[in-house]
Parts: sequence; C-alpha cells; structure tokens
Amino acid sequence: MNKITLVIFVILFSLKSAAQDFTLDDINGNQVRLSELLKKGPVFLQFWATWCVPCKEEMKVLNQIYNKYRDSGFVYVAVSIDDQKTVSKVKPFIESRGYEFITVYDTDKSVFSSYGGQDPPFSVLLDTKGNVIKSYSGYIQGDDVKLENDILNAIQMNRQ
Amino acid sequence: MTSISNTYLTVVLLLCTVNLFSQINVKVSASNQFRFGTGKENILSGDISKKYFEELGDLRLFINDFQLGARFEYDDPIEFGKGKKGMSRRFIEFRKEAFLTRAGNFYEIFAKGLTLNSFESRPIGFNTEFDGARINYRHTFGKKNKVRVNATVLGGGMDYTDINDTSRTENYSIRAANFGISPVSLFNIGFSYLFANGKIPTGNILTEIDAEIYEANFGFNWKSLDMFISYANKVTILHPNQVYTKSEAPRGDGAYASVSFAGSKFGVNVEYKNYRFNLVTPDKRGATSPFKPLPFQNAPSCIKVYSTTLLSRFPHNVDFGDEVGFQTDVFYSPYDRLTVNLNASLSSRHYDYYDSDTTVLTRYQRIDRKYSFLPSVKNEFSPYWEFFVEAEYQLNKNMKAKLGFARKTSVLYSIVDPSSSDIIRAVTIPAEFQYQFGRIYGIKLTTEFQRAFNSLRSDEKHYNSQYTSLVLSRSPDVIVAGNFEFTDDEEDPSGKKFWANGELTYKFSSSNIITLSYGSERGGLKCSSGICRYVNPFNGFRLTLVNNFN
Repeated sequence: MNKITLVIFVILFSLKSAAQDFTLDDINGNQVRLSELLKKGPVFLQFWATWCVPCKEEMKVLNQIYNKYRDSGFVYVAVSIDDQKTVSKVKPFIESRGYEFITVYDTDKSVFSSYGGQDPPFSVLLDTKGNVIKSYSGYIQGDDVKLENDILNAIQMNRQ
Repeated sequence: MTSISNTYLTVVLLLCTVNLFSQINVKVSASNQFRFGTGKENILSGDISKKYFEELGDLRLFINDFQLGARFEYDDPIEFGKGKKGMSRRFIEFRKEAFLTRAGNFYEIFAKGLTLNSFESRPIGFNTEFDGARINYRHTFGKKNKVRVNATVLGGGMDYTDINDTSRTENYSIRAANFGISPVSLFNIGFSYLFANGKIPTGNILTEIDAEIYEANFGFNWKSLDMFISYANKVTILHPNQVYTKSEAPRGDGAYASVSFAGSKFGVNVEYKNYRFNLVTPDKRGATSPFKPLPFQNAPSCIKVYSTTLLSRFPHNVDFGDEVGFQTDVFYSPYDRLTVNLNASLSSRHYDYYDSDTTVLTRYQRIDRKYSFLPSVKNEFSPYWEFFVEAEYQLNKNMKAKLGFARKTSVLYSIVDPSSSDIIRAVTIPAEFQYQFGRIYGIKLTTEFQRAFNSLRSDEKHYNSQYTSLVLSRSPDVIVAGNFEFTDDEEDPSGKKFWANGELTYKFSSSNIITLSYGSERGGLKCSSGICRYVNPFNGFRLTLVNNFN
C-alpha cells in the first residue's frame, strides 16, 4: 500500500504542471486559442475581475511591461472571471483605459480552475510549450520588479 | 535480499511509469486551502464560542484529451454552510475538437443566468453544483463568412442547502439545453430550455414541483457598441400535499438588457432588470415557497459590487422574484494619471400593496400602476438606490491617491405599519493613499467615514462609523495590516463600539501564502451575486493557508 502511494506521488510530482489548450472569446467577439499565442513567445495569463482592486493595480503594471516587451514576443492575456453580474463592464473598463493587450472572458471560471486558481488576482507565466514556469497569487506594491524579472527571464529562455 | 529486489522493482516501476506518462502527455495541477479559526461570536444574547476547521484540496490530471478532477474536503466544522468530509467533487472531462463532455460535478451558466447559473460562493456557504453529465459543442463554420454555433445539453441532480438554514436541503433533478448561433459577426441569437423536478422542504413536509423555463436572447456587437437582451418565462407545476392542497401552475418571467459603449478614454455600461419570477403578495414571499425563483437561477443583480468595508456595510438583498431597476457605470480616463468611476443604480418592487381586510386579519391587495416596468423611489415600493463616484490620481511614479463619495438609501416597507418600515440612509466618504519606496516597500492607508440613519433605532437614529486600515508590505513576501473600526451607534447588534484586528501575511513562494489574523471584526451582511447572509461579529484568531502547486 505504501509503495502504491509512493508511486502515485512520484508520478504526480514528476509531471510538468500545465493545463490543456483552451479557446475563449475576446471582448471583440473573436476566438482566442492559447496554442496560437504560444507560437509567439511566453504567455502571461492574468485572471482578474472588474470588482477586484489589486487585480486592476497589477493590470496597470502588466500593461507597462507588455508595452515594453511585446516586440520581443511576450504575450499578456487578461482573463476576465467576471460572472454574469459584472461581465458587461469588462469591455468599457478595458477600452476606456486604452489597453491594447488581449482580454478574454472565462465567465464560468473553467480555465481559472484548471490552473488551480482560488481567488483573484491569480496569474500564471507559461513557456512556449505551455508549461507553467511560475504561478502568482495576490498582488502587492513592488511586485512589478519581480514580475518584470520573471518575464524577462522567460523571454531570454525562449531565445536560447 | 527480498527487500533489495522489492526496492529495485519499485524504482523500475517508477521509471517506467514516469516514462510512459511523459510520452502520453500527462500534466497535473493542484491547489490547497486550509482555514482555521477559533474565538467568540457576538450574538444578541451574548458571546458564543466559534471554531472552524476547513481543509480543501483540488487535484486535476490532464492526460491527452482527458481531464480528471477531484476535491478532497474535510470540515470539522465548516465556517458557513454544510460541512463535508471526504471526496466532495469528482469529474472526468473529454475534449476533442468541437466537443467537450464532462461526467461528474460541474457548474453551468446559460446566457446571463436567467434560466441557469449554478455556482459556488464559499464565503456565504452557497453551492448549486451539478452531479451529472454535460455535452458541449462549439464550432465555427466557413472561412470568409464565419458562422459560429454553441450548443450545450446537460442533465443531473443538485442538492441545494439553504444558506440561512442548513437543516433545509432542496433536491432537484434537472434537464437543460442551450443553443446559440452567430450567423454574422454582428449579432448572435440564443435559446435555452430547462426542466426541473424539485423537492422543497416546508417544515417537515416535502413539496414536489415541476418547473419549466424557456429563454431567448439576442446580442449585438458593432465596433465599440455592445447590446444584449434576454427574456425568460417560467411555469411551476405544484403537486398538491398537506401544505398546498390545491393544484397550481403559476407563471413568472424575467427580462435583462445591457448596452455598453467603449470609446477612447471613456466607457459606459447601462443595465436593466425586470424580474417577475414570483410576483405575489407580501405574505406569499419566502425562502420556502415552491414558486420562488429556483436556487440555480441567478440573473444579474445590477447593483455595484464594493470591495471596501463601510461601502459594503448596507448591501442589497436582490429579490429575483419581484424586482425592477437599472444600473449605470461610467469609466472616464481623461489622461494617464487620472481615472474616474461613476456608478448609479435604482431598484424597487413592481407594485405597492394595501390591506383590504377591515377585520384583524390581513388581506393584501395590489395597487396596479401603468409604468411597472420602471423602478420607483417611493417608500411603498421598498426602493434601493445608490450613487457612487471615485477618482484615482497618480501623483508621481511612487504615489497615488483615491477619493470617493457614496450615497445609498434602502427601504424595507411595512404595509401593516408604515412607521415601522426599515429605512437606512448612508453617506460614505472613502479615501486611500498609497506610497511605494525603495522599489519593494509599500504603504497603504485606507480610511472611510460613514454617516448613517437607521429608522429602527429606538433612540438616536443617526450615527457615525469610521474605518481605518494601514497596510505595510515588502514585495514579494510580507504584508502586515492593522484594521480599526469605530462607531457611536448605541444599538449596534454586537453591543460594541470598537473593533480592531491585526493581520500578517507571508508568502513562502509566489503562490504559497499563509495569513494569520487576530482581533475583532464587526460582521454584518455578506453578499455574493445579490444573495446575502448575515455574518456575526467575530473576535478571535484566524489562520489561512493557500497553496498552488503549479
């Protein structure tokens, strides 16, 4: 019994962490497929909601990082987990701030759950094979330094 | 010798299995949440001891086109809702091209939720999870003129535990389907149908119902303009019993619409709701009524979701059976440093009622009105309205400030004795200041002042509340917070006037977090999607451990 348990644990922890490919609608009604985005470079998925204050602070920082590294293949996707009561505010919020990154809807939180998300802000940084390099729970002031370093490392790893 | 060969065999087995799994593309995702609390809850009769212990582990395994998921839950006891011990969720999902099928536990939303919106909200102990099967087909036809189709068929059971009385559990057997088509990129139309057989407890008696809901929706998307409209109609067929002796089949309906426009630096969203799923006289309303909106029907609430303490102090409990109203949200960002958010909403019941009985008995009679599709601000309609404006200004790279103003009024009208109506009015001024220094250090000061009026206070009806929170952080791993709240309300349900607690959060890694807190919390109504429960004031210790093993 102990050996079976050991085998199961070794298998689970030797596996690479990632979720399956997904297709979600963006705020303009287009379908966005993760595997297509991964062809460009590392992808940062930020799960957020219009009612989540730290999410919007993190989004501001990520937008600056995205504008800095988008030409290097970095892709930032804001995945809205707003449910039916707030989802109609997503597009006016994003466009009024002039954000140009991809924003998609995950209204039933299926993609959010598949990455083990519990509460927003929650983010994952993916390499071009779709493997999770790092996941992030919460956002505090000063996290921009760490986020930028991680993203820069992911871009450099992709070049090698 | 035997032990050596056993060890050898185990290692070989491990290597072979890992190698096999790596070839067939196996991935895993796991998360865990542990919550523990001990202390005292303040209720009207005094202090009672309160303890909770919740362990929640989620595991997902991805094997090529398959996904297997399981949740292990151990509550001893749970803080809110009905506790579980053992495996509380399991499913298997298969995804191939346009098809997505799942067997086991799942949640689902059709359109905006007028027919079906099942979800879980642990902070209020709400859960409308399916145990059954679901098939989804989603495909885009054509290359130039794309036609998009989305269809879902599902069936299963649902056990819903009443959030305010965990001894009441309603059982439903549900069959439902949803179809949506977008023949051109400009618009899409959708239809949904749901049949439910339900067993709803009324005291010791189970009342059986059959309910059917039909829904149609239309969406329009042109450049920066988005429109959506949805209409649902529900019929509930009652099986007579000792409580409800006559066969009845009342109808109810609901409509929702939204328009949003997003331009450069400016965005606006207007929502309208008209929910009449159980438009009855006041004596026939209630959580145990078999004709109520079903627990898996959760339409948009059309009220603002606040994230700060005093602003969320007087939330609105949406009555999906009888409510009409609208909400407007405006986002304005004239330049990079300044953003402004403005929100206004108004909701009320559709009709006023009067007591037509001249004896000691009460017989409610509806007063019809022409414009019942619009909300009213008259007290007789139990209105709820609020206005909120907030401006955020980035002073420089390291400093930003927020200032807001909120006004809300909530009325729960008493027809029998209007002078005992529950009227609450509140003006709240929230402010926030953030400063970042040394690149990784941060300080955040939040303060809220509130002037409130409560008609049910026997003596002084006006009172003030003050909330202050100071947060110090060192990125990426330490957060220290102190929260203080004061009121001069002589009749606060807890009998207290001051609450203070301290919180320490430490991040072991970017997604493994422990939070410890100690002190007193004021409590109050806690809401999710317009569904509210009262949370008692709490004084004690809390520990939360969140892990993500990605």
